[in-house]
Amino acid sequence: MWFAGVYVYLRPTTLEEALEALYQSRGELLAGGTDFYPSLGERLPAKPIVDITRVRELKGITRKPDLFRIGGGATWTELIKAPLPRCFDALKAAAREIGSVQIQNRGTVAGNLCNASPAADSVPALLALDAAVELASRSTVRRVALQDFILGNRKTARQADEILTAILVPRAVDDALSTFLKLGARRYLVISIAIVAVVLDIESGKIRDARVAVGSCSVRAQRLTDLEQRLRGASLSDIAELAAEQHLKPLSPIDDVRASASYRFDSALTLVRRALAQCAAKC
Amino acid sequence: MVELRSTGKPRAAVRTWTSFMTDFSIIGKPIAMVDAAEKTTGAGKYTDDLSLPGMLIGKILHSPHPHARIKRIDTSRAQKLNDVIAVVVGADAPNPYGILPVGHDEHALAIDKVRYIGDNLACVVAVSEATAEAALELVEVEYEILPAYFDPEESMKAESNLIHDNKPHNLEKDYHHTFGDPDKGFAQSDYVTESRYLANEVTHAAMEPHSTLASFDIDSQTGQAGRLTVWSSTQVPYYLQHKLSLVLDMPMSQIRVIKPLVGGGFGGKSEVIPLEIIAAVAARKAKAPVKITYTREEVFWAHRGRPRTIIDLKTGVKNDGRITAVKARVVQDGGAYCSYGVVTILYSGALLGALYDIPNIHYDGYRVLTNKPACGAMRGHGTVNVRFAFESQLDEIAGRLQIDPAEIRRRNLLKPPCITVNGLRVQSYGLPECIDKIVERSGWKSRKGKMPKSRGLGIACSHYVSGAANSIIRSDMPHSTVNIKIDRDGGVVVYTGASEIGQGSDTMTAQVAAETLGCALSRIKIVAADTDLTPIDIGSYSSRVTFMAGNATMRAAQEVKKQIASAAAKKMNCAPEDLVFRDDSVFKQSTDHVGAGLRPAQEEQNSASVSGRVEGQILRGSLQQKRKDEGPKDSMSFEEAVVATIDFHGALTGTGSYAPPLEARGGKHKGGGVGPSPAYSYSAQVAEVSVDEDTGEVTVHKVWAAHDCGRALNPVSVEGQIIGSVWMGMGQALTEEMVWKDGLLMNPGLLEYRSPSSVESPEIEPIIVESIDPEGPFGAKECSEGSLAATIPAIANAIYDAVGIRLRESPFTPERVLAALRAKKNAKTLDMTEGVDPTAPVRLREHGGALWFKGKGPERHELDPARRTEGG
Amino acid sequence: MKKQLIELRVNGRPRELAVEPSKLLLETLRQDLQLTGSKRGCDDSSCGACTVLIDGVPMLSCTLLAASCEGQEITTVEGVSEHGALAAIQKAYGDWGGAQCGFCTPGFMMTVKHLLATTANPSEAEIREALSSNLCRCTGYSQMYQAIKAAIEAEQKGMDSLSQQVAK
Repeated sequence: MWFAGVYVYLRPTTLEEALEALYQSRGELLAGGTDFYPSLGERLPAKPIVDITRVRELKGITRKPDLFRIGGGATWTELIKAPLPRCFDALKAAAREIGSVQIQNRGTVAGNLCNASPAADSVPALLALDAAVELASRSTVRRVALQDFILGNRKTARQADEILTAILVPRAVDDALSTFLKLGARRYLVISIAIVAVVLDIESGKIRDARVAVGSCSVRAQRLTDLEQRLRGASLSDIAELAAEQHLKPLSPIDDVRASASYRFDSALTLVRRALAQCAAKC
Repeated sequence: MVELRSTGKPRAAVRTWTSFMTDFSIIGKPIAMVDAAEKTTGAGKYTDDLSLPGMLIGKILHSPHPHARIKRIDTSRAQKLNDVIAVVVGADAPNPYGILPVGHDEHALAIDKVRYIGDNLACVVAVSEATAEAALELVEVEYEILPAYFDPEESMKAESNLIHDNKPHNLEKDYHHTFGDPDKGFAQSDYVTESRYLANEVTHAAMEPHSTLASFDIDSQTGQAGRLTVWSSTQVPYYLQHKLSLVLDMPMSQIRVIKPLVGGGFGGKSEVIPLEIIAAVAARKAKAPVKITYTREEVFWAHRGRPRTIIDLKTGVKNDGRITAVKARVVQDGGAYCSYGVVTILYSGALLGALYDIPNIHYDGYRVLTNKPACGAMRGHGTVNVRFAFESQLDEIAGRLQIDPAEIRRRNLLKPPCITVNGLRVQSYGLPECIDKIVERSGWKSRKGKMPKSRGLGIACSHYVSGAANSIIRSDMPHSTVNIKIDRDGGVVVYTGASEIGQGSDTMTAQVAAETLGCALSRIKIVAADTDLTPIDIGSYSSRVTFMAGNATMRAAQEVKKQIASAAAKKMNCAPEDLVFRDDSVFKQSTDHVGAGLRPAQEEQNSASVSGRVEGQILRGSLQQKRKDEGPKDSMSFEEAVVATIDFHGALTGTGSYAPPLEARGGKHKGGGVGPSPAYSYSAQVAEVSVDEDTGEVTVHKVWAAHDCGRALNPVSVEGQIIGSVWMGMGQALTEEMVWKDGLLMNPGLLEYRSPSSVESPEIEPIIVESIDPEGPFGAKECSEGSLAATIPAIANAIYDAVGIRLRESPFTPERVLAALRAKKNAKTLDMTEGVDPTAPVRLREHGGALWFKGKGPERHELDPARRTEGG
Repeated sequence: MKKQLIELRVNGRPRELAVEPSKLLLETLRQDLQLTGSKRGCDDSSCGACTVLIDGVPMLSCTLLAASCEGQEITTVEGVSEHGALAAIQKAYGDWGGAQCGFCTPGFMMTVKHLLATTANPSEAEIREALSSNLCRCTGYSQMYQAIKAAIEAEQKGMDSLSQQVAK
């Protein structure tokens, strides 16, 4: 859809077309669109729109020998329905509580990451899975670890001419137990006050590997590496007690319209303990 | 309380027609709303669904400053933009207006000052929404920033830079009432307690944003604007008509206001909202129809919701729990304009003393102006926040005296018929039965005190008026008038000014008319809320419609019924009093109630077809019928009776109107006009909650809500209203709060102003109590507002029962609950913003540092996502 | 922005329209097709009043560009009634008080239609979850659950049972 050399709305069907369109138009990417308009306010988009909802290569969730590949166009509902091992339970739980049912039906996991809101519901679970993102441009394809992809409040390492083509989850802990908990004033249709994702790899009643990530309590969601270290080797019983205030040092919660910093911090600790307990109880 | 002896007046004439009937055929039955299909198919039109040829879209420029003088406003660049048709500013409509006669302090668009962030400065009218928005950016305004006031107790100290020059100390109004002898009452008490309570600001958040479409007839010869037609999402079409005439300098008779479907009001549309006037002013200048629909953000800025309130309450009781005296000081943060403010602050005092028997009351009420959007009327009006304080305090007293909370309320009941110490007449009083019912259904006696850990039960009561006995614009004229036309097609058309806003007023009108006339419900057609066609009804507010418009409808129906009875009696050779109107027929009392047009099954009352078909013979009138006559019959169909009437009497129309009786209009003290009502509804509720002691989250498991509505004309509707009000009260109790910082509303959206979704909404068991009011239509009173107030203290009291913390600031958010729990346990304190203690709140706070909001408006916070830079 | 020609399939019919590429599906439905049943209740995708079915799946028409929906089957509330007659859920909402002011009702109709098409006998908890994404300010949701249960029964037994239930 070219009009006198001005690209306004483009809807490519292949990745090659999409990357070309993005490069030429310097436009905005539109996938699920669930945060596209809310973030614009009442203003109309000033830039051309590159609609990637039909791009073939972005669809689907596939299993490879060493990793899972969640396509850049995969929706939350598709993720919920996909047959995935237990370590994805936390991500699926996050998907089930995101936004609303209608939003889950259209919004994409990749879009949530590109938005990089401090309260992005998918990020803690993906951080806990050591996820990486695949970014493609006309000339390159590169992989970036998720913690290096999200740079700050609504800031990512994605260049203007790049598309997030897949989220890659290494198959290191397929069988691990995982739990996701969210605190918000409503169950759905809410921006969370605190979110926690826990992944526990268990062997013979002891923790072989632990990942604990907390979101909505800092500009970027954080892995609580000190706590993870403390949990390694511990036995399953009473692991909730092992989580202490000092482990939450990486967090820097703010006062905002939803909660005060003090409450965020406090409830993050409560959620971490509960998530650990619930996760352990699944064993 | 003054007990009234029965006056022994003869009962109204209506009773003789129906006094022998022990059951009704239409009222009291659950029926679908008459407009249900329009709603479920999406065919019904709300104002924003309407459009006219040549219609333009209007967009309003809002003030980014809470308090500023307008030094210069230049719209020339905006006007030059292609496809912009007109721009209007304050000077285009300088006449002030307001909903209260004493409060004409608003202008369509600001004239010299803006008084809140969101105030209205200019309106651009263009061919498309996008063009209008682009043009807004081209309007140049130069401001002189003035000091602004946000906290009401601070605002009251103001000596200069007043919000309105004629209101010293930014005090819109204050009242000081003394009834009985409070000092003596306190002196006589055995126990006195005093606390401060804070209720934060909540808003209606009706699902439909305000919308208005205004269109002038333009004289094709002169180009002059003539008659005005306005479609608007309003609860008060006649007040809109009046204010339009004030601002536009036009006679009311040249203004037609039509109310389309309204998507909820709850009081937010019970006064004239700026866009309604602005659209008309713009339409006049543009000489084209103009539609303005608020964005959700603008709805929040227009507000007119429930003000933040500080209540200092003191109650004195005897050892047996009998209240001896109450003293209340109420400060309402009213925002920048009067709106309903004077009435709100009066309601806070007036209904304090009319739920229970309180012999001595002292009330100090302060309605304060601040530089925030104006507050108005919201479901339950000024009674809600004070009721939260009172019922919480009563619970504390019960605990202290070791009296069961339900019992302590029983010991303080009124003994109607009576007049309360502040001059309110109380007749039907179903509160005792309400309390009994919820105590029974909730298992109160056996479960209270024996609940599992962190789980509790709480009880509270409330009430409300069934319409204010004194109208806003004081006069002796009726508050409602209804016309009925019946013609030989057998149709019954009811013309009522009453405004259907989703509460079921059209359905109520149809039911009352059909019951009175004994005709099938499907015969009734309602024409409503069109100022050209329907006689005046002052509006859908203060829950007056069933009582007042219902009575007017009944009287109009009785008038036509009298005519029909007279004609039918002649045909059937009997006296009019011998006739029964029922099941779409008119028949002699002695008949076995089987005859023409009767149907065996009750369920078919609301089915599509009416009885029989009207034969051409009948249409030709009774002269022709005589040839077929076999002699006087015992019964006839409704159509036959109608035709006979038209034959004998000519046209068949009736009119009925209602004005509250003098004895219900209340005391003569200053402000005594607010509070009196011809009847009051009553509510008693028990809430069951559990508290998560680690996160402070409160879950409401169930609410039992008994509501005395006089008589339930439509049980499905009544239950829906009870459930809806309890649910809205729960929202105010737990999750809803308008958060302010420096006059900026931090959560102007449905995402952050959190009214509960289905998952958070508990089971609510509505229990209908019928006290059969002597003056209500078929005994009915209101059922839509009275229940809201009790829910908040019921939850507060249940939280206390569950975890032993007494919250005195609403909403009881997890943060407030957790902070109180920590304080109680002397555990690590939770440091809330500005160090507020929710069990002993001192002042209203400004909070909400970071910001998530979008849209046009003031300077955005650095973390606002809409400020993100390109490419990232 | 210059308009472009798109073809949408709405309620079973193909409709050719000229719209700006940036135009939301919601606005296109309401303004260009005069299908005013879907409503605009918020500006942050949080109320659900604009819910439509895209290929049978409920989505918010305020997050979709009209141009983005070409080739997909769009169903709005106007497409719910069957040959002009009220579907069971529409009648049940009326009978049981599921609709008061009616503004949120179209959105709920779409969500409920999808629920009934995908879950044979939903429990009350499942119904609540399904409805959690549509906000209502009037009803407190309670009577909607009754309406939905009644509609399910009616569809199973035939429409007559609806009237019988209400009279009880």
